[in-house]
Amino acid sequence: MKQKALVILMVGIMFFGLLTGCKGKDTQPVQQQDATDNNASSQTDSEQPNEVKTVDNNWGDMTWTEVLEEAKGQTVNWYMWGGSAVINTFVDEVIAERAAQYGIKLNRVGVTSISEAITKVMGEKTAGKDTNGEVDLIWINGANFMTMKQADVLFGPWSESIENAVFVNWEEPSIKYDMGFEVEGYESPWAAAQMQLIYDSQNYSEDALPHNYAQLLEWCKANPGRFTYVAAPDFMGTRFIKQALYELTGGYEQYMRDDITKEEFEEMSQPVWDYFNELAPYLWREGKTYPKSSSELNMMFSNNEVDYSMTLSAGGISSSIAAGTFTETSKVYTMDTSIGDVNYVAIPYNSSAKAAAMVIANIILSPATQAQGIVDISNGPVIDSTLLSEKYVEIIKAAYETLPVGTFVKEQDLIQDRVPEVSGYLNVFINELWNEKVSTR
Amino acid sequence: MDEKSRPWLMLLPALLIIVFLFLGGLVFCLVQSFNYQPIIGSYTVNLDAYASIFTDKAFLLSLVYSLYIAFGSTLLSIILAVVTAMALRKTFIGKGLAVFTFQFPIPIPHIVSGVAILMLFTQSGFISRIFNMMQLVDKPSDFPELVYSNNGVGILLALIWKFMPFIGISVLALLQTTGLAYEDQAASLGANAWQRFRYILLPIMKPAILSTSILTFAYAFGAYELPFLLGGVYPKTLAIIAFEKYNNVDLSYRPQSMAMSIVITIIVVSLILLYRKMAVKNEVSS
Repeated sequence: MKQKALVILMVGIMFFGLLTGCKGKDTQPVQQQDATDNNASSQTDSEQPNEVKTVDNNWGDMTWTEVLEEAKGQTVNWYMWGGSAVINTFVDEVIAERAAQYGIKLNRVGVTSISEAITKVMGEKTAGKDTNGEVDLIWINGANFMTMKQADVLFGPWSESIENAVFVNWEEPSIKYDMGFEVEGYESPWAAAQMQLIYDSQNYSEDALPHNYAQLLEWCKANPGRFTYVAAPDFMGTRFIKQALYELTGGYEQYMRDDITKEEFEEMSQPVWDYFNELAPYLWREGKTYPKSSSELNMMFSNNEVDYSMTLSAGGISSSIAAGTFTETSKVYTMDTSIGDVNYVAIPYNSSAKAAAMVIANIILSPATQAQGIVDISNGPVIDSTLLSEKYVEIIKAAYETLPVGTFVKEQDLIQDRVPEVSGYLNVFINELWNEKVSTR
Repeated sequence: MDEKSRPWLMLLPALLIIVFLFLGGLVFCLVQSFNYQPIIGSYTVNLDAYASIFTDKAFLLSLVYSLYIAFGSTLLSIILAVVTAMALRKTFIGKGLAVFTFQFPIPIPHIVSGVAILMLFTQSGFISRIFNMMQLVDKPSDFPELVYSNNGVGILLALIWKFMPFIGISVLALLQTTGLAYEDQAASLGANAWQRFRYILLPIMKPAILSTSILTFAYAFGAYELPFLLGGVYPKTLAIIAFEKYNNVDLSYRPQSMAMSIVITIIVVSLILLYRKMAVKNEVSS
């Protein structure tokens, strides 16, 4: 009898251990590393200084050829958001194949939220696992980058010294600052993102579209129930709200400091909450509920429940149209205030394949990969065409020419409407205040 | 092998997994819920996280909402399961097919049942379109809000679809092994249908109902994926807000997430203990 009680109790606890995400950091199953790690060589290195140069000890005075040499035979575990089938295929086929040419094995590890990977690295640091970490490369940006940099778990600086870094304009604010945090060589750009609205050109002509938040309110009053946005704290929702913040409170510049308190912000942002509460009755389901993710909104858009969806892919939606997510008549455009930023890859401090991880970052920046990215996964390029030779400019141009008209916003139009994503830490306040003041309406 | 140590030896692998993986995780959780987070330089131990969640209206509302989901789905499932099991224990033509259909949802993963409900019950879903075709509603958006809604109907539907057969099959097994003898005897002594149900069938079914409903309650109370898939934005279940806090880029929110997890665990464990006490009492009295 007692045993039975014990078993039931344990089953209950097991259920909750699983369901609440309450697993301890040290309980993560430890994956076996390949025999390719260079840790052993770096340890002997300190005893016999002249034998092998490794990134861990000598990165500062290594040549790129030496890095390529060290990278050979290493395996890179690249942790990234795994929610997009086309991006997964692109990484597994295009990037992994190019990595193989350098003798590098690329192992993509898909996660539902990148904070899982960050938690893993931090857990390793807490446990004192300073070498041989499981994560070698990580696709991050913004506040997550800040978190990792604060916790001092990133390797660097490295990104401005890799071979293809010459194609990147490191002084451009949207590259130099990641949501207001200075990159300082700790991450390397991967793709440009910018908020755009998706609509079906069969339903609306171009001049009927709302281009700012005041027009959007009018549009919703005229078409009640046909618009909604993704709820915070999904990043798409946060960004849509943040755009409204810039537009309704007089620009982003005032938020470019990092000492704004929540009370102060609550006061500064009040017009935004008033606006969204005024808008709510005209939204889908009268704003009593909202889609929780962009995939939910996409589904509602393709089922014709609403007339707009949203995307951050600076290369537009042609890959989603090809995949059948949207109809062939779907188009994108930017509102007059359109937050754009760049997302990056970074290397954790305890990676055992830093050389190979840098080579992957380098492959990402090659004009050929950037051009392929435009076509295959609608990535916006992060390399600056003024820094490219004519041959490479042509490659990028040719890539854009393969895309159907209207499925992407021309680069000069993106730049014209672009505003930066400043002060990532404000997003925490935005999410909290939206939840308090708007979602509970 | 020594007869006395043998059961312990056989239990060892399971116990190791439970103690180290899950109780270990729980201890970690507890420590962090007291604000102890060396990684961000927080070495103080205090109850701030608990104080802040218990003064947070959103958390209290989520607690009520999670209890509503857990009690609602479990109670409705019990009622439906008992009615179905009583019907299925009789012999009739097509019984095999009926039992198979009834058991069908058991091996289907929760997430699949969630997606199925989604396909059927959104306002642009299958059922809404049929209603629209039959002109029962004017336009798809007039179809009642069952999923993505704040009343949790979609979540309840998906949970009941999974729970009802799970409870029902255990109840049915007990009913069938008992047979009809007791009832026939009671009937011959003049007991009416209600009395036979109340004093014979219900006590027979009670152990099965108790042991299965503990599991369904525990599952529903901490459920994450179905509420995420089918629920609205406000309120959210405890597991969802705990995970949102856990994922917050600002690590200083993590103790609150851990405190919520601990609260969920305490509530469930104490309910399980209460259930056990009831079950033991039940056994003693019968």
